[in-house]
Amino acid sequence: MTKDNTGPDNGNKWGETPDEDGKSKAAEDHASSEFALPELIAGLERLDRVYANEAVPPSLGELQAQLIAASERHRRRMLREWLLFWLISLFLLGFSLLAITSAPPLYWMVQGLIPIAGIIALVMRLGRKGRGEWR
Amino acid sequence: MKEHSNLPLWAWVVLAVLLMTQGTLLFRAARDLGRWRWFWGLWGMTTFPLPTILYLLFVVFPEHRRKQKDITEQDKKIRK
Repeated sequence: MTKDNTGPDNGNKWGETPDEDGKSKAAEDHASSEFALPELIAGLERLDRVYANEAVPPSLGELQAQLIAASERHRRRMLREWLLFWLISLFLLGFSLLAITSAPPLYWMVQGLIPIAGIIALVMRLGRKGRGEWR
Repeated sequence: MKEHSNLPLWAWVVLAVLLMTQGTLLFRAARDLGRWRWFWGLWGMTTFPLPTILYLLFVVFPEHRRKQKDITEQDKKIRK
C-alpha cells in the first residue's frame, strides 16, 4: 500500500513536514517513557514487596502443624476406606454364602463374569494406554 | 446345593474367615501397589482361591519382572 501524495497536502497534515512529524513523535515517545519509567519502577517495587511477603518460609512450628494435620487427614481417610471396605465386604460375603447355598448357578455365573469383566477392563485400559490417552 | 447346605457350621465359619482374610490381604496388597484395590479386595471376599492365583499372575509376577528389568537397566547404565 502506498501513501497518497496526490492531494493538496501531499499526504501530510497541515503545516507538518515529514521531518517535523518524526521529531514530534520521538519527543512524544521520550516524554511518555520518562513518565512511564517511575511508574514502572514503582510497580516493580510493589511486586517485589508482595512476593517478599509471600515467599517468607513458614516457621518450624507451622510446618510441623501442617505435617501433623496432613498425616491425620491421611490416617482418617485410610480408616474411612477400611470401614467402607469392611461394610461392603460383609454384605458381599453374606450374599455370597447365601447364593452358594440357595442359588449355586447364579453364584458361579457371577464368579465367571467377574474375571471376564476384569479382563475386558484391562484390555480397554491397555488400548487407551497404547493410543496415548493414558496420563 | 444340598451338599453345600449340609456343611457343618465350623466349615462355614472357616470358609468365612478364609474369605475375609483373603479379601483383606488382597485389598491391602493391591492398595500398596496402586492396582485396583476395590476389585481385588471385593472379589477376594466372594471366592477362594481364584482371586489370589490371578492376583499373583496378573499383578505380583509382572511387577516383580518389571522391577528386575529396571534394576538390570540401571545396572547396565552404571556399568557404562
